[in-house]
Amino acid sequence: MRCGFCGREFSEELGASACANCPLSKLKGSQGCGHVKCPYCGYENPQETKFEQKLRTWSWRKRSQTDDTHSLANLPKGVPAKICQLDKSSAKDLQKLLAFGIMPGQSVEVIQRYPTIVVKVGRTTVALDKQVAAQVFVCAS
Amino acid sequence: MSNCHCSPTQTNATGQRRRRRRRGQPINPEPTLDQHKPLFLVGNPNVGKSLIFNALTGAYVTVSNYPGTTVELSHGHLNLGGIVFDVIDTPGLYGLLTVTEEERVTRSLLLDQRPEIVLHVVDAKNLERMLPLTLQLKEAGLPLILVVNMLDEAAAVGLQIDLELLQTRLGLPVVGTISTTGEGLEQLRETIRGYAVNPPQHQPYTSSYFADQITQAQAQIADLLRQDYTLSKTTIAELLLAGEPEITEKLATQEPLYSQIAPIIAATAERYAEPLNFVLALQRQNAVNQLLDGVVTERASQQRRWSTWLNQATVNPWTGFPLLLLILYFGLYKFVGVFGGGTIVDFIETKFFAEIFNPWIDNLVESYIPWPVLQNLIAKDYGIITLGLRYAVAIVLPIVGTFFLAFSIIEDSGYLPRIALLLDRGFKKIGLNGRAVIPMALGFGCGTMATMVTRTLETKRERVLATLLLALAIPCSAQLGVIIALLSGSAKALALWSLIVLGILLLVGYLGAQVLPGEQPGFCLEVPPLRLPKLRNVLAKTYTRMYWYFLEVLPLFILASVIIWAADLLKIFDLALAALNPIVNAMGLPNEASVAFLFGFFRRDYGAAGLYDLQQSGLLGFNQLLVAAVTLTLFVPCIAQFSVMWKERGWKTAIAIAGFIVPFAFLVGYSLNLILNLLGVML
Repeated sequence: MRCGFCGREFSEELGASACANCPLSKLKGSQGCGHVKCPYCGYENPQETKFEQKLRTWSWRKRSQTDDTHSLANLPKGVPAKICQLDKSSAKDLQKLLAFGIMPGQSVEVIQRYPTIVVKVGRTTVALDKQVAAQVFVCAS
Repeated sequence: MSNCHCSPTQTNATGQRRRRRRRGQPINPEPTLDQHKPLFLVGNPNVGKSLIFNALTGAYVTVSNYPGTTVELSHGHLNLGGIVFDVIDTPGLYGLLTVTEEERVTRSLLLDQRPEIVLHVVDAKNLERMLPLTLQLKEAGLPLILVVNMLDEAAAVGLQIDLELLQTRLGLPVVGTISTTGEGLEQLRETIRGYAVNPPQHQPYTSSYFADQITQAQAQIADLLRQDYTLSKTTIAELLLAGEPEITEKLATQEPLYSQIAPIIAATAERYAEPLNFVLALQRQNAVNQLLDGVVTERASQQRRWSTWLNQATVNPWTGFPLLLLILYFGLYKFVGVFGGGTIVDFIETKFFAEIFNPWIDNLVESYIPWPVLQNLIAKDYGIITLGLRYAVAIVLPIVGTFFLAFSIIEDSGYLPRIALLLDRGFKKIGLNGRAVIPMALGFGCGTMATMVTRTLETKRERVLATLLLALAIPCSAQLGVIIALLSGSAKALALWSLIVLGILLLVGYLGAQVLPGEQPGFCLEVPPLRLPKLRNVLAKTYTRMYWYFLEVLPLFILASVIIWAADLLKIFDLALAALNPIVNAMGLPNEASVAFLFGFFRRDYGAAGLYDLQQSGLLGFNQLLVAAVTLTLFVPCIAQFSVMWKERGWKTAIAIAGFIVPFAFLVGYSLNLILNLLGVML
């Protein structure tokens, strides 16, 4: 999150580390004081709710996300790209991707993103869900 | 599981090994002639394998556009001037490292049997994706002929393929074909014949494109293998290196020197940061890309614009969902429900059976058979001919026939994977994924067939869920047709029925997904281009499915008639009906409805058809019809479906599912009646 006083970005866990010594956080049944202390300037920022977080990050067009920028799950429609890497943690999914010719070096283009991601790899059209698409990493072609 | 695929194959193959020799033909000097040689067709799904199979054998089998519908193996004979081949169409295979059930079937076929010739059929448009399997099969030492199919489609996208260059580079016979028009098939036959008469010498082939460490490890492992394999030892070594679980597990116990093999695998794996199967696939792909350099040349494509547009429109959510609804409305409701279930049934049932056939049989029986007991067995209210045959031919056949016709058209056009991708999100909510569209859609045709097809789903969890939902909330076409006919008098009742059944499908699916353990596999599916279905294939396919259905359904209908007759005679039925009556009454239905429910177990549609009779005689109002229709839809699957559930999922699961469904169906019926009464709804 972003400190409202000094404007620096910090992770909420880092801010919450100050709570360890605070008597308020030890009160039974309470959620603490609802504030997060900025580790840089000490200013106590009100905690962001999920709704506020959504509101802050919401925009018309899904921007390229800060994490997994290079995953196929976030590749915008119609932008030609090249597959540069695959996530190999799931042997089963990896095998499936390889079977459809989704492997490093292939050019790829997203045809559509909703309700299921549809991509063109070479001359093959493949539909994959977010979970599988997130295992494919792409770079600019 | 794969065993159950293989065993019928073997019995078939040996059972049909008849000696055939035409009279007057000179006896051929070659000793190899006049024997059935196994010829396998292998290749990715959607490359026109089944069409080539049909063209070669002349026999018909199911051809489909959906990856993975050909669960069963098709057999046929090919006679080339005295040499008879036993042609086997294997389920789609992407690679020797398998993912799906069908692939495992094909691989175990390749592992267990010794094919004389293997035809690897590939899609000319996608050579760079298909050839890795060709290399794999070649390295495995299989007697291979490469069939480059769909040359017309490749030409349409501007690809030119130098088949001769490909042949010299690969070092195996290559034939180009267009299976839809039959082009190149004559050459293929000649090549097969030439191959059989004069088999090329097989020199031990080793891949040279893997990195040195891998080639060395492969050779070391191959040296340590002591058992005999159909596939070459280097291929077995490669599968072990890639960590193929099934093979590894098998060899770990069978190979005496496995303790020396395991360290080699581990040491090789350690050299790479990535899993070996990935490394192998990548290096092989590089080899293929080099091999294809100069073989495939690309010109500007001249693809027809409407087909690109249609291909897009069917997957785009804005146009795809309305299109899907249109197809469901016209294909399922209008064509199957109204035309099949209404017009045709009406015609055969009332015009033919009720007015002409049944009275004639009744008369005939009365005048020739003096005993009333026997009269009742054959004719009259519950007779084999007047009830069993009439239900099968007049009510069920038209509906099932129109359904299978519609389904075959949709299947052959390549539309099914598009439904799968559109509905994937929805299916995820009920613990399945888009792949389950096939069994679910088939369930609207015949739940028995659909339950069989659930074996194509990836995890046990999905298979159980799909089986449950098929048994519970998916009405089969016969039932669907009769229910649409039943409720057609009241649009509100029909709408309510579909909403309630859909709601229950979603609710039970959602809850089931929460309860059943196991993770959800990701959805990843090839989307084939839309193709205009071939009339001959569609008709032949509809015919095979109807034939199968009729063989399965007619005996059961007759059996049901006989059981009903016997039970009626022995008064057992009255006991069962007396037990059922209070339950049925509690749902606000008359005693006569018990008969329909009792019949419902023999066949679901049989029960619905019984209701149809009740409605015709004006015994039921729309409220009651709705309650009865909902209960009957949810109620136990028919005997045939139940036996397939038992066979595919095991008795525990089958009984658990039935034990849940029966009380649940009545409970829903009871609550529905209560709610309708409380709200004072009159439909």
